[in-house]
Order: sequence, then structure tokens, then C-alpha cells
Amino acid sequence: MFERFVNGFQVLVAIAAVVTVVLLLTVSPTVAEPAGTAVASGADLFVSNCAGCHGAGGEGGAGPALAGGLTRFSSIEEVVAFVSTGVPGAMPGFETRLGPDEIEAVVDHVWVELAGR
Amino acid sequence: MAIAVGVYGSVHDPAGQQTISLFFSNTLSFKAWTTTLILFFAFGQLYSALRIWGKVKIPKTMPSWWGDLHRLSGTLAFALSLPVAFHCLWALGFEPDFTELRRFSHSVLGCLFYGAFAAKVTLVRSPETPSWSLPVVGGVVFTTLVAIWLTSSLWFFTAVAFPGV
Repeated sequence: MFERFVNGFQVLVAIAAVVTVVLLLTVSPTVAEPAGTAVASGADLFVSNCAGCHGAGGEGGAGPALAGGLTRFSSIEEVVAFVSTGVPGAMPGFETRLGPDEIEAVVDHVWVELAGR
Repeated sequence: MAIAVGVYGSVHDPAGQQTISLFFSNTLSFKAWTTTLILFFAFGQLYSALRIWGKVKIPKTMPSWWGDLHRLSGTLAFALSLPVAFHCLWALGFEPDFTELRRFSHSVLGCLFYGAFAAKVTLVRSPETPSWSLPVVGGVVFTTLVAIWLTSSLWFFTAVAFPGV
């Protein structure tokens, strides 16, 4: 009985593994609304685009902490440029995912609300 | 398998987005605690394997379902690793810069884990497997998993937040 349960569970997990591979190959990042429509708030854009690496409150994670940080940048324009182009192997560029208004909105949120600059 | 995972992580454009978080506040917390649970099952794997190979004597008489318990703990660990690996590969990608020691070693270890796991599953189902190979590959899987936990969950709990839920 227990053996049959384990066998059945292994089959389910094998199917889950295949589904995971299919998702890896097919799922695209969530793309924000195209330019010309209402721009989502910087906070919302941060949650959907940045929090996965930098933490929900900018406390850091796979990426560096943003809260109270950003000391390497001297102006908000530098951050906009950095977020737009990204860093190969470290952080994706967002100019192909977000419109200019959206990048400005999320950087403004990070600069003012999280970094306190 | 290890190479395939590494190649995907390298060529895929990281999404940089959250994925599953269940009842945690964010995906990183979910991953840190899920990896800890995986480590728990990995220790279950280690102990049940040691009993199968007679290296420990408790329980004194090995129940008939002991082997199935060993398989179940391994399957649970693998199943739980899937959403974690999905976020690592899809959202973060492979870290090629070895000066970023934690991220680089974690990337390599993640690839090694799936390679070693695939080797173990293949060996355990092969009738002509040398008797020494399963403990060796199983040991590699366990060691890799411990190193993965050290470079991810432990780092998260000590450098980011604890419990960080």
C-alpha cells in the first residue's frame, strides 16, 4: 500500500518536473502596460519587477539592498540609466520591459521612498 | 543535466520578477524556508540510507517499508526543489562572475545538484550498478544540497532577515 503510494507520488513529481521545464522555456516576464496608457505606480512596478531580487521593502536579497542605499549614484538620472541598461550577469536591463515613464516611476519610488535620497 | 541547467541559466534573460511565495511575504523568503525543509528531508535521506547500508543500527530491525520511506523523502525533497529552482533559473539566472563568490558558487552548486540527482536516479534503476556508486553519488547529492543551503538560506537568514517570513 505504502509502496504504491510512493510510486504514484513519484509519477506526479515526474510530471511536475516536466511542467517546470516547459514553464521555464515558455513563460515570459510580465510586461507592464505599453506607453500611452496609464502608468502604474512606482510602488506597484517595484513589487512586480524589482522585489524578487531586492526584497519587498528593498531590504536586499539576491540583489543588493536599496533601502537606505544607492550611495554609489549621485543623481536620479544615473539610476534611471542603470536600471534601463542593467548589468550583464548581475541585473537585467528594463528598457525592453518597461516604458520610459514606468522606469522613471519605479526609480522615483526607490530613490525617494526606499533610499530616502 | 548539470550542463543543461547551467546553459539555460546563462542564456535565458533573467526576468527579475517574483514567482511563487505561498503564504510568505515574498519569493526569497519562500525559497529560504523551502530550501531549509528540503535540507530536513535530505537528512532523512542520509539517515535512512545509512540504515539501509547497515552503518547505523536504529531501528534494530529494518521495517519492510524503510526503502519506500527513503524514496519518499528523496521525492519530497526533489518536488520542493522545483519551484525554488524555477525562480533561480527564470528570474535570476546563472551568475558567471566568480568574484561574486556566493552567487557564483550557488549557481554552480545548483547545476551540480540536478546533475548528481539525475545520476543517482539513473544508477538506482540500473541493474548493473556497482555497489559503491550509489553511496558515492548519494553523498554528492547530499553534500551539494548542504552547500546550496549554506549559500542561500543561511545567507538569507543571517544577511537579510530572520525569520523573514
